[in-house]
Amino acid sequence: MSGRVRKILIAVAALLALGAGQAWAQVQTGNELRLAYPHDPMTADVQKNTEYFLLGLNIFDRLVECEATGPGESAIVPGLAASWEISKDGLTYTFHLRPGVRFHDGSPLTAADVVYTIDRMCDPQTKALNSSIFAFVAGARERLEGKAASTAGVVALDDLTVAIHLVRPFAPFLALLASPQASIYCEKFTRAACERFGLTPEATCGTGPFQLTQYVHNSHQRLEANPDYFRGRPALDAISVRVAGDPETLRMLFEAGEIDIFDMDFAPTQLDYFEASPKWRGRLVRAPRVGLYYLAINNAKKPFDDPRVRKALQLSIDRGLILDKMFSGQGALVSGVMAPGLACFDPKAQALEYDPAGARKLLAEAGYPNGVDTELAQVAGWPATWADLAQVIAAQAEKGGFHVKIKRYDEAAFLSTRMAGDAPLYFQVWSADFNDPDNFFHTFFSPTGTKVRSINLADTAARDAVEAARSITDPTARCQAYRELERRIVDQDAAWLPLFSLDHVFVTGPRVARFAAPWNGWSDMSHYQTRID
Amino acid sequence: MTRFVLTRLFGSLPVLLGVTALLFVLLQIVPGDPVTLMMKEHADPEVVERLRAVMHLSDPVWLRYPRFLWGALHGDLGESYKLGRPVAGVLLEALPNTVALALFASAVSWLVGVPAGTLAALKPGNFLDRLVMGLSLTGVSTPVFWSALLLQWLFAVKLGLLPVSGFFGFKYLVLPSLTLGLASAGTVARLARTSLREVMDADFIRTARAKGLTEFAVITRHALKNALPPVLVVMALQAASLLSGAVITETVFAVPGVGRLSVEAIMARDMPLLQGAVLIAAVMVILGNLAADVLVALVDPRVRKDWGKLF
Repeated sequence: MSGRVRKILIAVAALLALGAGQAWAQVQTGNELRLAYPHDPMTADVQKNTEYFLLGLNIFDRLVECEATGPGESAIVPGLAASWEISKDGLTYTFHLRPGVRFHDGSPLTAADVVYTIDRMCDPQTKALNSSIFAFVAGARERLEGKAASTAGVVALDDLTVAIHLVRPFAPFLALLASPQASIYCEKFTRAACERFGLTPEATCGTGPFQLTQYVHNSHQRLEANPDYFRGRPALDAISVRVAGDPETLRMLFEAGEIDIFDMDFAPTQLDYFEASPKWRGRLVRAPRVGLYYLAINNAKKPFDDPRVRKALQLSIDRGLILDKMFSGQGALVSGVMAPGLACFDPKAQALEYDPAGARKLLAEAGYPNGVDTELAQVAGWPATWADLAQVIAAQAEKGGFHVKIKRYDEAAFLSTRMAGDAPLYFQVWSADFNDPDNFFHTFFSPTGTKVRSINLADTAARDAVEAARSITDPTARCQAYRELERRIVDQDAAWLPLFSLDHVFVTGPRVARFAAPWNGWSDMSHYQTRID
Repeated sequence: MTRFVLTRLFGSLPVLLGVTALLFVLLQIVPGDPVTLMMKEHADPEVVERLRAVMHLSDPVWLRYPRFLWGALHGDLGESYKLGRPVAGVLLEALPNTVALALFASAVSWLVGVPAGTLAALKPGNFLDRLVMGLSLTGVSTPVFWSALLLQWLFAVKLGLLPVSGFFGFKYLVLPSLTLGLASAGTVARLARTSLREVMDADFIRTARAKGLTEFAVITRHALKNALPPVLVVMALQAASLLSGAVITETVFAVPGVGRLSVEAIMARDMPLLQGAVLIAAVMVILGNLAADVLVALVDPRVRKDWGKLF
């Protein structure tokens, strides 16, 4: 190698080391909560994100918030709105904003910001993924279809009062406004940031307890305390979030003291290790989750178009055994559509039986004395524990007369097949986005939801009742309607097989002095209350 | 040499065109819709259809491919569907991390592989030779994800000397570079040994020894120079492969590099991002091949002479 070439190579290496040194941020310690997530959040813009809301829940606030009031209990509390009124016909929601709230850039919060936020979601140029949450707002459809220049149903009555008019009564609306997707943006700042909003710290601004100060895609995010937060400065100075996809790596990060909270949802295979560890056993935090695992049955696909076959499948699965053996009994069996902790949840609902002999009898009655052949989807990229769960479900179903073949899909192919209503049996988990039964019933059993989830509920009266229940304004009558619907769908139609609700397990490191899981048991939560010693 | 390099680069353009066209066609065939994948469990058919129209995803391929090419020719690789950011910017952010990892891993591979292969070649069949060959076989056959976890456990959890994962400074580069470098050092060592053995039996080595040169001088000044060209070719190609992204190592060590971006793009059917990542991979392989040729020419004057006749 000539001297010249050697010099060039040395110069390149030095430049790279220098450039890299400048680009890499140093991880801070101190009164800082250190977390690790398996995925990059993609953006802090909650209107363009359906999965990752850690940033959104800490950077922004909503008009109202949903807060845990006890184990498995929650309530809607004032957020940016100090109070609100709902008109008697359920068509107009009037919110009175807190005075003196400021965004991170110093701008005061006004009713115009709320109007802008909702209109931005409905503006087709935003390419928002969550526009359906405002589908009931008057003028939203016209705006979404490009037929209107603004969303007519959202009006600023004065600087601190905003009225939202709906096209028809929509009972879950208030609960929906507490979901992270409904976070309020600063009009002036967001307009200026344009399409880059939420992608970089410089282009992100909210009213929340923390502000984004670093964001390197696939590497890390850093949030620092907002000293002017309207509820008071958070106890933490900062939150740093690293992206680490591998479960073993996550555990090693935690054990090496590089992160403070280990979230078992990101590495369910590590639960046995932590439960057996004398060092960590006492630092396990178990939180109820407003969510459930379910086995979706395609009611339109033979032989499941016969309710007796669907009922037989319900009788074939020993859900209690799965919960005990696979998940150490960390949860509760669910026998309906609603998960424990959800508004209107019926704790006295009759449990589903386990009776494989009865299942075979039912199959024989339905014309399948030798049992039925069927498929269960298993999707690449879903948690490793789910592959084991698929094997267990297939083995249990065999006893009831179902010869289950596990069919492997890649996620893209599966989602397309499911969207078309053609997926075979599959299991999934659904956690509440907002505390209302509509979040479960409409997702799975509305005329559109039931098709795109490949459940294809054939009971048109039940489907119509799911739509109608959205507009019942009397809370008691509404709960009653949902409870009746639940029994009809699960017992009479045997449309799906609810499995269980699993507790959300976290392990807290020695620095964590106060940690409480959110009302719905999500991994994404506001860390306003979290404390580090 | 400049003429040779320029001719080779110009000749690579059809390869790049072919790679992007093939990828475009393949992505039309495989099932999966990027908007549904962005929304996953919250996919709403009405929203999906509306967004597909706004993002021009329903346009025919014969319209979209020329649009991509036209943009690429103007330095615009489009906007990632999933990330909502310009593809060129996302790739430029990830590329230095991948380049740093590739260079340091290659350095480990070369600094371990070449001396180990040379030592093994000195006295074939002795203990040192067997040890080096045994270790190199272990290195080649050990899955990267496994050696990565072992190194993490030993150096980060047990000894506490290095960080487990992340990419926040030089010390964060050590474990991923060792993981990748040691895996390819085995190949380099075996190749260096074989190549050196062939040269050690050549007449000019006997002449060098007859001149009274020390064994060290014979090996470093005469044998290695002649044995290195095939090793250099393999090393350059290995480096090129690392430059297009080491997916598993990047994932285990949370390195925000091109490899992880490529996997993300495939899983999300994010056509613009995938096109960009594949373009980078193709360019790296082309440059790696070119670098191999140039390195051989630098070491071997006969090759330079042949180029002189051709260009």
